[in-house]
Amino acid sequence: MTTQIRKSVFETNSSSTHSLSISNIGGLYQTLRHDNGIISVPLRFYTFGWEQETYYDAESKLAYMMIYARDWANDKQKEFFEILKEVVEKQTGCILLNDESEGGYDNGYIDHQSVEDCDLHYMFREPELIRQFIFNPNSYLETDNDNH
Amino acid sequence: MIITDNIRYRNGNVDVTISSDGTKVRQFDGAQFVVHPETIDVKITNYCDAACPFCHENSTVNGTHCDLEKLEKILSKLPMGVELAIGGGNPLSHPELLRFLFFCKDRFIINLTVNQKHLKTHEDLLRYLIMHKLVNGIGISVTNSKTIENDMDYLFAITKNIVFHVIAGVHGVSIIDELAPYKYPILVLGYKLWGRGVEYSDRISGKNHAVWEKVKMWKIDIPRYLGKVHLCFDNLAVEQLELQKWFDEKTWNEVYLGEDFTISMYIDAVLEQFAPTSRDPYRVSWNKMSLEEFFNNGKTKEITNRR
Repeated sequence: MTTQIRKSVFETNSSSTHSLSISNIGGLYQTLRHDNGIISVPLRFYTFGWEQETYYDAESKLAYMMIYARDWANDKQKEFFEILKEVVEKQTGCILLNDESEGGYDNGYIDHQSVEDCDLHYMFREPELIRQFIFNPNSYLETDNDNH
Repeated sequence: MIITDNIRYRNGNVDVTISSDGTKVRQFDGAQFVVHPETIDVKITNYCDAACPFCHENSTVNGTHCDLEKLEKILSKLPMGVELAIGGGNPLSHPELLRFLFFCKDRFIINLTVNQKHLKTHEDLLRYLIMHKLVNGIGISVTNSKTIENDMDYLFAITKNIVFHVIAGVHGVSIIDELAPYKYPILVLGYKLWGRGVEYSDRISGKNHAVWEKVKMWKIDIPRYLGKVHLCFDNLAVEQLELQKWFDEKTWNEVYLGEDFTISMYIDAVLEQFAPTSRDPYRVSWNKMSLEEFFNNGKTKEITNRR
């Protein structure tokens, strides 16, 4: 059975109808902080090592994807970033700035094995997966190691 | 019709319940089919002295009032419980409004949209309508958020069923911050390129406050408010602000009530025409077919024409 709900409001629209009435609901996607329509993620603050951590917030998940993209060279790096940029811009309406920093421990990193094994290449072939990963609040990033 | 207990009716295969705070629940199995509109947007006058430069209804002080007796005949076959959103022009300026509302009182759920500029000038009438339970919901087209307290103090005291109306593109998205403290729902309307809305959009484009620049900022910032402030949207806003992408599928299917003309329609009682919405060029004289025929057959025709 389909249930549709218009919550706590009468139809007062003098031009067409309320098609949506929402308050205090779940099922909403996350957004990213922006400054005047520009999203800039300071990758140097993100280190995804071998600790056991779970990240739900959109910025951490985007940072992970950006570092993953950055850790590849030349064309691949550019191709991956362009895909990320398109996904983020389409979802948020904001411009995503590339973090021009070189890789390395001081500029944010992902534990090498996750990158070397091409773990996330498949996501760049399907941008909707990236959108779901970054913006869906139920998607999360889990870091761990094999020492236990 | 003032709702004290829940109102229940069946429309085709859809069970509809409306409660006293306006909450509407629709339930159906399979694909829905409905036999009559559940909400009708009714323009009863084209007279208005507010002179909003973006008015998509093109209302002016030279605008005329509709013949409400004719409108009563058009509406008389509708079942009880249908919601009428009465607007204009300035609906409070119609000299027969009171008589019309008494006609509607035991038949329909009556809601009224009023420009903020008219709240003080028509205070006595509005008080009367609310105290005598002639209207349920009141939509207020916000023109000045700074004078709301002063303009609406008497309304706040006598009814809870208030909805602020704002237009994405006329108002900036920050209007939400200004209205949220009042704790009433805010209905966000899309920007209509219709009536004076066309000229207004052209005239101010290129300036800092251009309509589409504001719409762009709404698109960017609206997710910050979703789920935190009680917001409603019309279908045009849903489209212009690309809202669906911020919802998961299950939630969307629950809160989205469907496209225009699925359960709603528009009557321009001044021009004596039916239309899917106020901004739809597809219009049919109400002398040519009944409201029910237009709603059921017109839908097919309209869809065919668009294809």
